[in-house]
Amino acid sequence: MGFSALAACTGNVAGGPQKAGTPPGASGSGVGGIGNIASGGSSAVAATDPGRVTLHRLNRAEYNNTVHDLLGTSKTPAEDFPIDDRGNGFDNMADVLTLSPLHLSVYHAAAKALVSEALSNASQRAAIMTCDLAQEDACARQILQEFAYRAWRRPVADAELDRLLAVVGVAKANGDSAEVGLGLALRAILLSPHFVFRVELDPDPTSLAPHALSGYELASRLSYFLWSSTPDSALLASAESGALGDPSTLKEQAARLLADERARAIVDNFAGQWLHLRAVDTLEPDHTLFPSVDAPLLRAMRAETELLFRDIAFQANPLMQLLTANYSYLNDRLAAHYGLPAVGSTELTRVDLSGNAQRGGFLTQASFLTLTSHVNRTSPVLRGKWVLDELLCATVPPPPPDVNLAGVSMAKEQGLTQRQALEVHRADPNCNSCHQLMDPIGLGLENFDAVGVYREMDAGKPIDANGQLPSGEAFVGAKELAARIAVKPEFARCAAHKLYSYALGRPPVATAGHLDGPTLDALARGLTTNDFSFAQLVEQIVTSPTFTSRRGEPEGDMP
Amino acid sequence: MKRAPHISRRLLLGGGATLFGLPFLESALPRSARAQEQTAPVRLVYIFLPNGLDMATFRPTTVGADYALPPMFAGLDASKPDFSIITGLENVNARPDMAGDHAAGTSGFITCAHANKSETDIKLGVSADQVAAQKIGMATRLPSLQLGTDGGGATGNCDSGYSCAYARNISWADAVTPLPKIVDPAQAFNQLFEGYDPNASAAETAKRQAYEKSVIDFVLADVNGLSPKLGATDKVKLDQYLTGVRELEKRVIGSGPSAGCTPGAPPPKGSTLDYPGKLKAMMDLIALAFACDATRIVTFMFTNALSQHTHPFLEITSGHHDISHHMNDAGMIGQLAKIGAWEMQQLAYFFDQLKAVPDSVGDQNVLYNSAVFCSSDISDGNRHNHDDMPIVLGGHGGGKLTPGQHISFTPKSRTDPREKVSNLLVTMLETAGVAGARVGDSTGPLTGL
Repeated sequence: MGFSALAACTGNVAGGPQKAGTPPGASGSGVGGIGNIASGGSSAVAATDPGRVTLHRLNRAEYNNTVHDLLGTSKTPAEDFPIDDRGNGFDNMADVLTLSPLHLSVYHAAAKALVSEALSNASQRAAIMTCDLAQEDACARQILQEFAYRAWRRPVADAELDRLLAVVGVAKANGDSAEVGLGLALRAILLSPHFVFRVELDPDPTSLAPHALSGYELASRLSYFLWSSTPDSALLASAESGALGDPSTLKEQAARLLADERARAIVDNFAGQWLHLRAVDTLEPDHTLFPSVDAPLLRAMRAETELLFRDIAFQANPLMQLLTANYSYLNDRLAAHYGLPAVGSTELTRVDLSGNAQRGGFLTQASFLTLTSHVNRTSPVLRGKWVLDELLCATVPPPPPDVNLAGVSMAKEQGLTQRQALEVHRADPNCNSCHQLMDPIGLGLENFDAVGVYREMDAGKPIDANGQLPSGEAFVGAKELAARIAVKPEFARCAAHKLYSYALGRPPVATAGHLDGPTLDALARGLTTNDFSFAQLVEQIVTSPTFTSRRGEPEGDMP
Repeated sequence: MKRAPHISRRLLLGGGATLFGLPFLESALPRSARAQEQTAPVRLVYIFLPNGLDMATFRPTTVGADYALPPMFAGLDASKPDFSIITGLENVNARPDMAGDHAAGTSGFITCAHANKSETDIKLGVSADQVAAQKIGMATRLPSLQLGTDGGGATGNCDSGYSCAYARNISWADAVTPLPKIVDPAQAFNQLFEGYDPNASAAETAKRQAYEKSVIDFVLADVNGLSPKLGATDKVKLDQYLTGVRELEKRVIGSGPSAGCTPGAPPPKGSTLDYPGKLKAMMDLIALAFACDATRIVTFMFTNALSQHTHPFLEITSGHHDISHHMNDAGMIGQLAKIGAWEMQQLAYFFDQLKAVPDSVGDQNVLYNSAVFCSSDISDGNRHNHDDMPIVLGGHGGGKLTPGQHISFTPKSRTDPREKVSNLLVTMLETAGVAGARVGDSTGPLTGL
């Protein structure tokens, strides 16, 4: 649940704007696309259910970041782990992060390699060996207590320490040194479920009554949201003192984490998946048609959008600038690709675009424009669908089987413009019911070719960049489209929805009585009243009851 | 044991010399576990091809043993006695709710179960290979092995509201536990043969095992401590973890392949191989795994559901899925047929590798003692149908199958009920000694195979 597709795409948009049934979230109606989970306004049930997040296995990015921060390693063992399956476009959905025997096998191998490295590398070793192991049990106990505290993100019980020391004892009984035994115990810590899962306990596992997370559990939610990594010592100390339970401390910690370099994870993992940037490096535009597009240029395309997003996440630029920024970051390659003057550097450099009629904002960037194209031609359909899916959270159903996906390319071969080729859709009402929503958006972006180069002609004919949103609003070209979307309440709500789902590691739930609906309402409102501040959106998410509390589940709720 | 077993030079060299740096010991086989077996075990292999096949060039024009190889099988005359072409079977549970044929067809590939349509609420069923693994997998170091060539795309939704778990995994331990595949041949080699040290003394091996056991006992105690404090859904995750630890324990504490197999040097890292090179390395590795009896059950995916792989070595530069929606365009159908024919050549290569391994029990080769199921998530890429599935059934099932035929289950009339893919999977299980099993919507074994 949690989303409604543009079911049959029956909304007759041409009949007029904002009619009931107009799919991508008719403004203010509280129904429609994925970003528009019912607020509960029409329901008499008071919302009190904070929901629950299933035992969350560290995904690949989280594992790599965690062992880096824990051990100071430069190894990235999770690159060899199985790909994490995605749900709702993100690979940190707890329910989808299942475990297989293969996972245990790779964890086992990684723990072995990581501990071996940590004990032989001087600086890594010094951080673990905080006393002289020759002092026997007292020192081993201290080392294991300190390490397990950081690895398990919580204090270690005496009984657990006793069991770890028993592992050390096995090596000694076999005639090996205490250090060999310590290595085994460190491996056990890294293989433990307390390490590979983010454990959140319910005092009464079958009770539906909401309860606050422990300070340590909350610390982990916060650090894995903003850093995709383990809490640092300051955050753990805040949990230990109980201060993190205070909303003002929680806000301070969130701000501190967001200002830290590790918050780069928000760009890599949140923006990287929301905006599909992770896929840019692997694009392969047809080399015969676009010989200048190579790996360095693709990297620059990705970095351009990442830097724009960084300014939003970390420099207090309003979120809507994702679409409307009048500047960008270019290097010489990318500037040449855009037909702009060289910046004099291979590094991406800030360039003022005010007054530039063509460029400015994500919808004019080569990353987006190439991602949403075929290898050899533009696709107004893909571009329109992408805008609806990712910026307005209005899911367009895929075409039914037996459709002529080849029709457009054949039309292109006959020398038609995209606009003419897409008239194929108009002829078939089965196609037109959905394509009337997607195609007119994408057609407005036709001034950019399949790798994002600006053009005025297509198939020898001038490009007509007139477009239309499903609401009926007309626009001309990418910049006008971006300006219109940026002020839409659906955009604010959709962005909030994406970040909220990513923060919790679960999709929002639409059931009556669930706090997700009202929380999303508040987040969307907050965005519009707080000048679209990303930092304030983060603050609002981490202090919401769905982030700070959870509940058990009744018996028989098994999947 | 009828004769001294050996690994043929063909396997060693045909599989790529880099795979097998060390000479294979004549005395290496049989393993102790197998020595007690009177008949050779039947190996089960399930191979997934994406995007359907061109049925016009896949389907023979006549049925029975005297059929002429259709165009997709051109040049495979030498292999013809070792496989059957099967048409007309239906996998009804592979039909999605509304759109999503590829994800539902992939998850239903050998589960023959209907996937719960959801991005996060995953529910399916047990796959045929895991039905076998749970019954007979304990005989080998790995109960089963999941292999593939691609982890999957980096972003976006996978298929029409179905989680990526459905589009990338054909092997399912239970309704909520997909088994991801290894896509790097070097890693697969480690999984099969890790811990093997031909020079270790008995005392060293015993110590290593004691150390591994201390680590594993520690985490098992963690599981026991955690379990009572978790809700039902969390316990499912912890159970998945526990199952993994149990398998790990068996692998790292068990006697390992050192009991009688010298696997040689590992294959190259997957990142250094192109698509055909990776396919070949993986197929060689399956033959090696069977030769060493490291596992008897393997699933292998050529890419994933909705693959957009290009085939530049066939001069096909458009994405595979795009081509599969051929809309009866002759050019696109031609490309699809070409990809299918190339895929069948890969399959024939695989058959050759298995045939080159003499079995340690009895006087047959491993292909004779195998049942290899090869099919796709859908039948025709343009129609997205799940009836009339294109199936190749390789091997002799230890003598229980009669390959070399075209077997058509196409009903005489449209109103006749269709026979099920699941019943073919049940028949395969029976050849491996797993009797009376159910797979998805199965009702019982097929005859005439």
